[in-house]
Amino acid sequence: MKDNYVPSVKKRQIMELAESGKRIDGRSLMDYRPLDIKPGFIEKAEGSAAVHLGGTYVVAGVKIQPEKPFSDTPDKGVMTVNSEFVSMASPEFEPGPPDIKSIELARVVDRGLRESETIDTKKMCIYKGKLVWTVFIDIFVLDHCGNLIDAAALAALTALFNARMPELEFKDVKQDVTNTLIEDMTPQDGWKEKVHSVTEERTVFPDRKKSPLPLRAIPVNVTMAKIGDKFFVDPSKDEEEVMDCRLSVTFTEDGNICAMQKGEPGTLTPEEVLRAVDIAKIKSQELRNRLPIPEDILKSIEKAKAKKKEKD
Amino acid sequence: MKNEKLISDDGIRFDGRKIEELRPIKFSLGMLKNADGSAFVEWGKNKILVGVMGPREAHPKHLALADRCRIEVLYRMATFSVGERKSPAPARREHELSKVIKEALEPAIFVEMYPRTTIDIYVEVLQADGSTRCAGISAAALALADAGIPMRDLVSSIAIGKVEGQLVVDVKDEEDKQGDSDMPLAIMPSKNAVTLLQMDGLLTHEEFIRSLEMAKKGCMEVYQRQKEALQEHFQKSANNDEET
Amino acid sequence: MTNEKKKVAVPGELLGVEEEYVPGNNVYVEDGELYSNTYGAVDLDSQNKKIGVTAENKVAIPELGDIVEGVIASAKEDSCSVTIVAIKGKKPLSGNFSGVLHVSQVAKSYVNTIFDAVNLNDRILAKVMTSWAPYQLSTADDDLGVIYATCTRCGEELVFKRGGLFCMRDKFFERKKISRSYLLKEV
Repeated sequence: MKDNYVPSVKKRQIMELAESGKRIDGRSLMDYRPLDIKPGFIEKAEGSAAVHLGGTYVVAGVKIQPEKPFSDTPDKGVMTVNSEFVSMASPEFEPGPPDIKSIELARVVDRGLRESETIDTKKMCIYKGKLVWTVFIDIFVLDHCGNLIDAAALAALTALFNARMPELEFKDVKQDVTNTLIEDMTPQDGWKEKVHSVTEERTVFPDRKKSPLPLRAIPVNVTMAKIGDKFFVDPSKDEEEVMDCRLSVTFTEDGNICAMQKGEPGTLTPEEVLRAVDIAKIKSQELRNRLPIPEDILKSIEKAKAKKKEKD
Repeated sequence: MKNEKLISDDGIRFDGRKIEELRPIKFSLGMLKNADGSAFVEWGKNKILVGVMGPREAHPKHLALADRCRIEVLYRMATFSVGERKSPAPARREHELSKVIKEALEPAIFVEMYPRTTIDIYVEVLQADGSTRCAGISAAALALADAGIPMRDLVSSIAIGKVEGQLVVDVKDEEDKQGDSDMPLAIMPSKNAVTLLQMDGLLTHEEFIRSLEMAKKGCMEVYQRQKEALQEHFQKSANNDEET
Repeated sequence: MTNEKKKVAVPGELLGVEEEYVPGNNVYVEDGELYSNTYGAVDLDSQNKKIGVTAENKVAIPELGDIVEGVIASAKEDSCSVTIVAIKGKKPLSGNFSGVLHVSQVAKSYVNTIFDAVNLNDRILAKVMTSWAPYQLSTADDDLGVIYATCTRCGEELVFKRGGLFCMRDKFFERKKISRSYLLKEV
């Protein structure tokens, strides 16, 4: 039996320990739990990663498929983030349609990636108005021991780094689309050297296979729980159960903030928010240094940035 | 792929296996903190995680059975587990497999020991490469053992296929899709009792008799792997206890 | 490693026959044969010819005589329903169990109504008296009863003071069946 199961008693214990900078699991207030990231866990997905953050276990998979673009962005690829809290991950997770917490998680991860423009969606256009690449990021929470948002964000980002473009097969596209496509095809930035070959049944871009996604940012999210007047980086489940509120801040590698989310009913003073943002800035850089980022991805991100600077 | 042969003239399958050879199978146990019992299996390219919760009070209460425990199985495939992204909504196939997996496992569980409770078994297919129900059932038996649930026996499972006119053991995805038939079977190995039997395709009576023999042999091989995994896990936790 | 490799049994493993051994723990008998119903180390008591298995893992379910921790979910004059959240000495629960505490089982002495002993949301330690849900509970022993409660008037936590539960804000004692392990003591 867990000692001091009573939430208010546990909260007092956590707060007393925090006075001397300690936590019930032995960490300091600023420490993350042990982090283990395995890229490429699922070979059948275009990209994937399994993340262990302490006892929390999350798997993210990336699927890249040609789909119709949205009518207001006919020349841009699409990114969607979904998450599922698998019932075995926690007694509180009931089978059925995604619950509200799972949707929040997916949307916070989505915003971090979208607003930092991690994927250069303009380079994901195959044929304007007809066909673009859609990147499905699916996050599966398999064991919930606290701080799902950070674990999910790290898994999603690593899966994107790990992703390789699939072969483009025009199985379901009408003949006239493929024909126009070949005639009108203006190779997009970064894909210049690619040639396309035509066969009778289908058109493929052989070189495009195995090339990485056009990426240009490394957004990292840091979540803190506020208990009393202190912030606890990477809260455990015990800490989440008694926290007043939670703040997640996503920083890009340039030191810009690209997404934030305050959760739970407690309040923060503006000074506290500033303090939390300072913590997140330091911790996000620390985490970024620990990410397994492939050489070619790092190079292409730098290249994309240099180009952007030139334009400005 | 379509025009390539799945079995060469000298009886070697397209992934290098012999006719009666299983793919590499590796079970592990107890990796989940929240579930009462858990097991993970890498079976060829199949990657399946099973979590068991319970016995716990049945919810809603009217579903409780007065004389025994209710077994619930939820078989799910991750969206990225297959070639083309699977819709996150549960498909009819997943519902059916949940049912047959439940019925394959229930005979092995002493359900009468825990009346009015439920045991939930969650089978999450992270990567699918053929025979996922067999791999799922075999892993679920270990997850139940890991949960400490009293059992009559383990359950071991394998699928026998017919590919290009030949019977093969442990059907891989391509063999299932292009083959002539698929017959998943599960047994309680020390009771010699069949708990799952499905078949689709076309078999002659003689082929069926031969398939059944091959399946039994295949299941015993899976059973060996399961026992090894339990022994290994036991040794590991014994060593951990000594260290602490 | 100090001890030699123990023999490990898996569920369904044949351990022996009835003529040979007496069935011990976690063993079931079928057609005169002894099988393990669990996974764990085989215990052979050769003196008494008894064979059993020490279960490596056990299910967590309330059993007769167990001490459980629970929260009062609803209450009326003569009984209250209890949500069992933990069992002493067993692993954390993956779901709650329901229990019932009848006024006659609250204390050794006579208690008029349940509200003289417990109230809504009180946390209690109790002993399990029956074998299935809803489990009949008893708080009669000195160790058992309320371990945590808040003031029914203002919601302030009650502290243990001079043998009673006291609200520091309302300066008022509440009547409860208090456990010896009440969590908050007067400082």
